Amino acid sequence: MNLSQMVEHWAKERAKNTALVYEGREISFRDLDKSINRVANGLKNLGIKKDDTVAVMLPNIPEFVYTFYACQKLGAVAVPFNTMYKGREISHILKDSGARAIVCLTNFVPLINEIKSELPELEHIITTGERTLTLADPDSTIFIQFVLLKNTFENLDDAYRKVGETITEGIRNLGIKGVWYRHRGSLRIGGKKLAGFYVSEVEEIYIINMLCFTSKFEPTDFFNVIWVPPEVKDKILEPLTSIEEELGRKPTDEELRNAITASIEKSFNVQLKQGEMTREEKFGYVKQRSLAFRAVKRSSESKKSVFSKVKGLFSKGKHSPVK
Amino acid sequence: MPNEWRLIYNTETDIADILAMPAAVAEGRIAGRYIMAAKATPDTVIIQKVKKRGILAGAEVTIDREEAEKRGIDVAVQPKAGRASTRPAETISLQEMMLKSSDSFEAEERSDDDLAALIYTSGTTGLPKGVMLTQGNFRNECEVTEIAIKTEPQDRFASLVPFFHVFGLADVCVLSMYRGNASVLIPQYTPRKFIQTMIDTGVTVVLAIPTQYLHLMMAAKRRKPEEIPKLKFCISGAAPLPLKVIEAFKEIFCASIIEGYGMTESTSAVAVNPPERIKEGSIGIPCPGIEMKVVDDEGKEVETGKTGEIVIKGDVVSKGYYNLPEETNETFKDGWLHSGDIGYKDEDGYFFITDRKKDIIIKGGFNISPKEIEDLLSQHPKVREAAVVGLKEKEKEKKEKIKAFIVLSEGESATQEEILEFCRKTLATYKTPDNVEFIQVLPKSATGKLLRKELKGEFKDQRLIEREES
Repeated sequence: MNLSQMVEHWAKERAKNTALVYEGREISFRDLDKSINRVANGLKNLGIKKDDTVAVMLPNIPEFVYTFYACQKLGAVAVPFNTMYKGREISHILKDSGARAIVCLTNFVPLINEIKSELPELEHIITTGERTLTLADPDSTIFIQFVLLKNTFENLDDAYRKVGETITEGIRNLGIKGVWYRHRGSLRIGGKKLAGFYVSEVEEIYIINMLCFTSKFEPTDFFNVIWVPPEVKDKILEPLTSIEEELGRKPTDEELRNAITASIEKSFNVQLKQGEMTREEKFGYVKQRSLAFRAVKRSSESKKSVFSKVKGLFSKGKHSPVK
Repeated sequence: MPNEWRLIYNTETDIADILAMPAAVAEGRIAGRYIMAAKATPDTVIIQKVKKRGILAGAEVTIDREEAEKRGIDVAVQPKAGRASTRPAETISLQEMMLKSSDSFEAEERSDDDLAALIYTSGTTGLPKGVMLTQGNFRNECEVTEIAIKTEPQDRFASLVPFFHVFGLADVCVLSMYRGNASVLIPQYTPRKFIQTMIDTGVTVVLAIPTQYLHLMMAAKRRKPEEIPKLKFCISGAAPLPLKVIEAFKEIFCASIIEGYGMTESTSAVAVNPPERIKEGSIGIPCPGIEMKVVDDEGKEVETGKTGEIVIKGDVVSKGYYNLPEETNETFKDGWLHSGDIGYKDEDGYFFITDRKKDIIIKGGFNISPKEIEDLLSQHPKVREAAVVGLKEKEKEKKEKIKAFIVLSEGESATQEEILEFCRKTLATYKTPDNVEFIQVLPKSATGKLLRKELKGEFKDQRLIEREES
């Protein structure tokens, strides 16, 4: 019995027996086999065929098992690799293996985006999991967001480049000359991150969301409130810098606004006119806000018990089981 | 005449607005198309600053709401992604892809020699190499481990080792499916949480590395003995365990920890230290179907008790490194996998490791190449030369720390933190050195070869603060 047949075999012999247990959920061999088949068909529809390589950057979650065995059924070669890896390491593995697709946590998309230009063979980024995280602080963060028609740009690469270069220019005009735009999604000084952004899409629209650090950002306190796996946290805690640290003084809101808007106007050849949301937009806005807060209540209640169990992790030292 | 875009500028928002404002504008724009009001919603730039700290989290992030309130942090949650929701541009949602696909699939024919996986592992030459593992390798590993793990259909596996590591992949992700056993998935491991999971799910077979077994024992001491789940098989890898740990563990969990020896190139375990006659400090005896011997530099087997390199033969041995014929020929000679481990065989056929031929550092079961870190360090503008070694804090300890020795360029000065930060930018955290020492010159042989042993010697008595948390 080889790898492509194992699960199918038990799906017939022990259909109702549990194959996977994950966060209190039991998945039978029959259901596991079906999920594997769905992933296999999905990959096949994307053009993945026998002997192609598929990278897998996932922790031990059911999707790892689905993808690994889907590859086996397709006759594709799975390339699972360490979720702690960063740009250079990931780029080497994807390049060396010639992976045509990667299955990863949604959180890792910015990381893959940054190196994508070096990876001509990588055609598909397939994501799973909802563990994304945005941290906001009154003293040290500013958000610059664009809602634009996709046809404002030639393509996605152009959208990333244009937005990246525009804001880079705006920050240079503040007097920070060392800032440079890194492919797809980050503005850096030296190797430190000054701002990060990503492009989302819905129908014919791009929503571009940029977070820029205006003063030294202290993320530690936020991690007393949430719990994310080490590989996710690790990537949030990359070396950061801020406008204040680079400039030697705190920029005023006015200054920031003018620098950013001026570079947007110049680079897109537009005139920015201060406005408010329309009445229709306000309805949508109220709905979106309530969704965001309603989700909190539900998820915090159901997850609280889990949280108390893993909480010991934060407080190194006295709560630590190992000393 | 330039186009007019709208600017919404607000420095008094909160975290929910970071999500809601652009979403509402996008929604309005999409709706506008149907009610012929597209003109009413122009292209928009939104600049926002929050007036209170906040977290915008994905639906699966664990949040402590009480703690958030106490610390004055607002929490908003991104609604679960659905068909019409926004998502990172030009990516595919796995869940959506699954929904749209059929649940039956005719598997392709695969033969034993066909590749199943490439697993990247660090060697001496810098960047990770892809170890080619075939269908036959994985199936044979399942057969080889039968000697150590004898399961019944109701047994449940749990791996504390990630599935991207050969140990977790071959001996749980594949083995449990080969046997038709359930596998309990542990994406985030903490000892106390794991003991609770064992109780809740009825885990009977555990795979972990030595440190994790030590942690489990500590965590178990906080529970009443009758609450401790009884295990049937525990497999340990990466480094030998002291006999008294194995005995103490058995007293608590009723199962002997079986020590396995193997590597990525051998699809995980090839030898086990049999629980009924453990020899302390040994990597055990070869599993059925596996041949192991100790050879000299010419590849000739040495006498019992004499030291040499341990080599391995069997159907679990990889066919080589992907796209690296030279490295493949060096490591796989005439069907024998050269492990790089230096050791001997005793008169009972037990193997012992005394040293490592290659300069690999092993930390938490992962191979780390000193060369990869050294190459990176030498790119630092202030660094002239660097050498990286793995060191044990104490003589008996198996876990290694990474120490970087650095010679700075003339006239430069640097701090440890500066160097470490440089590493953290591009290296996985576990590869980042634990500490840095600045020295005047690196010890080298007459031929200019770096003498790592000298660097190791000097370090022996230093104590380091434990930085790594499991």
